[in-house]
Amino acid sequence: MEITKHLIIGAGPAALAAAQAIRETDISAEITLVTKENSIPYSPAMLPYLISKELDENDFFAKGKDLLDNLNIKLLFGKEVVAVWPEKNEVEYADGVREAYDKLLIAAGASPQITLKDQLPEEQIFTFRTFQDFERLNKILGTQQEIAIFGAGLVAVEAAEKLCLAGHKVTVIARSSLLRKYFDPQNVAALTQAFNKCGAKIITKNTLVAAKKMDNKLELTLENGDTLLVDRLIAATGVAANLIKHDSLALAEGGLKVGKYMETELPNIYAAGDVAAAPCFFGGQNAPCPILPEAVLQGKIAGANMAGETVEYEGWVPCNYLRCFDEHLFSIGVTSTAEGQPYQVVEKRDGGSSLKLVFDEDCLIGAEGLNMKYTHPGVFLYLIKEQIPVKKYKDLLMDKPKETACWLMSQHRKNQAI
Amino acid sequence: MLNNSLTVRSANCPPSCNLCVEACSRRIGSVLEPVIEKIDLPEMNYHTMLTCNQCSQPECVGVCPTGALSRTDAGTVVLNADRCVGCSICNLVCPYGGIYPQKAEHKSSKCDQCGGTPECAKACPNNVLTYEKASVMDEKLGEDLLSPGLPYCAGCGMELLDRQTLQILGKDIVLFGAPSCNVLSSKAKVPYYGTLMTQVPSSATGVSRYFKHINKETICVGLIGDGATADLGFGALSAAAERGERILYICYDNEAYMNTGIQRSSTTPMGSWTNTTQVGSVGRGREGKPKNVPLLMAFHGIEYVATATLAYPEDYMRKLLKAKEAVKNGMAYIHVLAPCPTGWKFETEKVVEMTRIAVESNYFPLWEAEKGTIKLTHETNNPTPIKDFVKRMKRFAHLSDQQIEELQQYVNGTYANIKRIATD
Repeated sequence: MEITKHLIIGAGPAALAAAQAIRETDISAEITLVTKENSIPYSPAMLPYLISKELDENDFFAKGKDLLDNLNIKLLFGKEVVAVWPEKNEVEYADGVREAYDKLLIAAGASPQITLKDQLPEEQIFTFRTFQDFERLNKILGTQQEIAIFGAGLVAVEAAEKLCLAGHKVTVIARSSLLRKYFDPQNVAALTQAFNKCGAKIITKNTLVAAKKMDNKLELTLENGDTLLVDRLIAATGVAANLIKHDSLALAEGGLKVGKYMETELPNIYAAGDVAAAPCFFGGQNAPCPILPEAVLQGKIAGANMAGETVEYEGWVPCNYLRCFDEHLFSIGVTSTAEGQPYQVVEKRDGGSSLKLVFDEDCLIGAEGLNMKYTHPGVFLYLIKEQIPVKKYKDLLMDKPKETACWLMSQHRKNQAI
Repeated sequence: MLNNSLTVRSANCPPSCNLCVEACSRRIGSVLEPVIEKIDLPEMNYHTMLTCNQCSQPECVGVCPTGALSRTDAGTVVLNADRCVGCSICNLVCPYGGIYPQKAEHKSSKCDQCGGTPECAKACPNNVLTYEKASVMDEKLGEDLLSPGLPYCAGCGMELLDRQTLQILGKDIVLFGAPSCNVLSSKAKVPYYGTLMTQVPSSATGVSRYFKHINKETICVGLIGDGATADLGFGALSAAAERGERILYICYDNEAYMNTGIQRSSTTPMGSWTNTTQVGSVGRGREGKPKNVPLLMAFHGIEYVATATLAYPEDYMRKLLKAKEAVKNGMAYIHVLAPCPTGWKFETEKVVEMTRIAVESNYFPLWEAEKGTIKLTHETNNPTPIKDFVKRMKRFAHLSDQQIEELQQYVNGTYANIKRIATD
C-alpha cells in the first residue's frame, strides 16, 4: 500500500488536531509538522499563564509532547515555508530547499502586527504571541515594573491580568474600549473595576501616537497629548494571518479562503486555524475566526478530509470564554446587534451577574453571560449550532437558563437520534 | 474496546430527590464540590441528572490547551487538576453541560466515575443512575461468526442482531431457519438447517434429541421471523414448548411478512399499513389487536422467556447468556423487536433509535420470565407518548387521533398487565 505523505505547516492547536484526525483514519500515513518556531507544539492561549506561574514550562509543553510521542508525527523545527508549488505538490523553505507532499495543510497561524516600528527600535517593543515572545519578555522582566500594553483584545487583557497578579503596574491603552469586539460594555465595566482594584490603569478611547527612549524608560505619547513613562511596552493590537502566497490561493478578510471541507482552491491543499478564512455559521461569509475551539474543530475537519473522509464544516460561531481575576465572561454567536436588525434581545442583570440572549425568530443565535459560569455555556453553543427552536420558551430560558437549556438540549437529542 | 458506563434514565428521576449529588460531594470522604448536578424544570415536568457523558470523541479533550483533560483506555475522561489552569474553554464547548468550573479555585472539575465505583449510582434508589458493566460484552463476546457480505436491505438491524447472537452463543450451535429475510445458510460460520416455515420448532426438536442421545451439548437455535413464529409455525412452537424441548428459539419480530413484500402477520400492530392492510376509502390499516407471542410463551411455563431489542445490547446479551444456560434443561424463547426500514418506512439510519423509543414508550417492554415468573428488566416511569413513536414511520402516517389514542390505550393496557403479573 502506498503511504500518503501529509505535510502540515504550523504546530499550533489546528495543526495538532489535524494530525490527530489523520492518524485516527490512517495508521500508516506519514505526518510531518513544519514550524518556524524552535519549540515543540504548544497552545498560545496558555502563554499568559506562564507569566503568572499558574503553569510551568513542563505542563505548558506536555500536550504537544504527548501527541508527538503517541501519534508518530515528525516535527521539523525552525523551518519556514515561503512558497508552494501546487503543480509539483511541493513546498519551498526559506533556504530554497523543497519538500514534496501528497496533502498539505496550511495552519501557520497568525502573527502580531507591530506598531510604532518607525519610532522605536524593535528590541524595545514586545509582543506576546509565541513562546519565544514569552522568553524574551520573561528574561528582562524584573519586579514591580511599569508596563504599558497597547491593545485591548483577549491577549492584551489576559497578559495584563497575569502581569498585575505578578506584581507589576500595568496600563492598558485601548483605542476604543476594552474587549469591544467580544463583550458587552456593561460586562467589561465589571472587568475594568477588577483591574482598577488591582492597581492597573485602563485608558480607553485613546491611542499611542509616539514613543521614545528616555534613559532606561520609554516615554509614550497618547493621542490626547498625555504622556506615560513606562519600563516596557507590549504591542497587542491585533494579528495578521501568516499567509503563504500563491496566485491561485484566494484571500478573504486577510485569511486563506477555504470551502466547507477546509479545502483551498488549489488541489490537495487545505487550511485551518487562524490563517484560514472559513465560512461563517451565520450567513456563510468567509473570514478568519482566530479562536481556540474553532482552530481545533477546523483542524479536525481538515485532517479527516485530507485522510480521505468527507466531513463538512458547518461554519464558525464566534465564542469566547474569559476568566479574568474572579470574573467569568462568555459570549457565543451574535451578541452585539445593530439597529434595524430583526433580532430580539433579552437581557437580565442581577448584581454581579448578567445574561443576554439574542434570538432570530424562534432560534437562539447569541448568548452572553457575566459570572454565569454554572449555566453551561456549551449547552447554549449547542442550541445555537443546532438551531433548536426555542419558540414560546424564551421567557423560561431567560428565567431558568441552565435548566431550560438542558431541557431543550435533551429534547432535541431525543428527537434527532438517540 | 467496550467500556463500563454510568447511565442516566431521566424518566425515573423524581423532583425532590438529591441523593446522588449528596453522595457525589462525599465521594472521597471529605466534602468536595459535586460533579453531578440535579436539573429540575417543573414547568416542563423535566427532572434529571447532569454529569459528564464520557464521550468517545470528547470535545473538551480536543480543546484543552494544556492536555489536563484526557481519555483513559477504560473510556473515562479524566482531569489532571495539576495541569488545569481554569481557562474554562472545556466548559464553553461541552455540548452536554458535563464539566464544571470549581467554586473555590480557578480550576475545572468533572466526573471520573469514582475510578469505577460511582457513589452516585450506589446512592440512587430510583434506578435513574446505574453503572452498567461492559464486562458481559467485553468478556463474553466471542468470535464474529458472520461472513462478509450482507444480504439485507439498507438500514436493516438484522446484521447487528445476528452478529451479537452468534458472538454470544459461540460455535457449538446449529441454526434452524426457514425462507425469510434472514437465511444464514451461506452467511454464518455455523451449520444452518433450512426448513419449511411451519417446521422450525419440530426440526430443531429432532436434532436436539439426537444431540442428547449422543451426549453432545450443541445447542439447537431457531432463528426466524414473526410470520413463522406467530402464525405458520405457532402450533409446532407451542407444542415444543409444552414438551419442554431443549431448543433456544429466537423470534426476530419485524411485525409483518417483510421478505415476501410486507404482508400483515399476527404481530402487525394496530392501525399499521401493510400491503394486505391497505389504507384507502375502506381500510385504515390493520384492524384488531396483535398476538403477544412472548407472553403466550411465558404462560407455557418454560425454562426461560425474554423480550429484547437492539438499543439495549447488554440486556440482550445477558438474556442470551441466561437462555444458553436454561436450554440445558428445557426450552428458551427470546422475542427480539427488529424494525424493518423498508416495511415500517423510516430512514435507514434510524433502526436503533426505533427500538429505543419502542421500549421507552412501553410499546415493547423489556422483561424476562424464568419458569413462568415474569420480571421487568427495564422500567420507564415516565414513558414517551406513543404518538412520538408512530410519527417516526410512514406505516402509521395515516393514523387518526382516535387511532393513536386507541393504540396508546392498548399499549397502556398491555404494559399494566405485564407489570401486574411481574414480580420483583
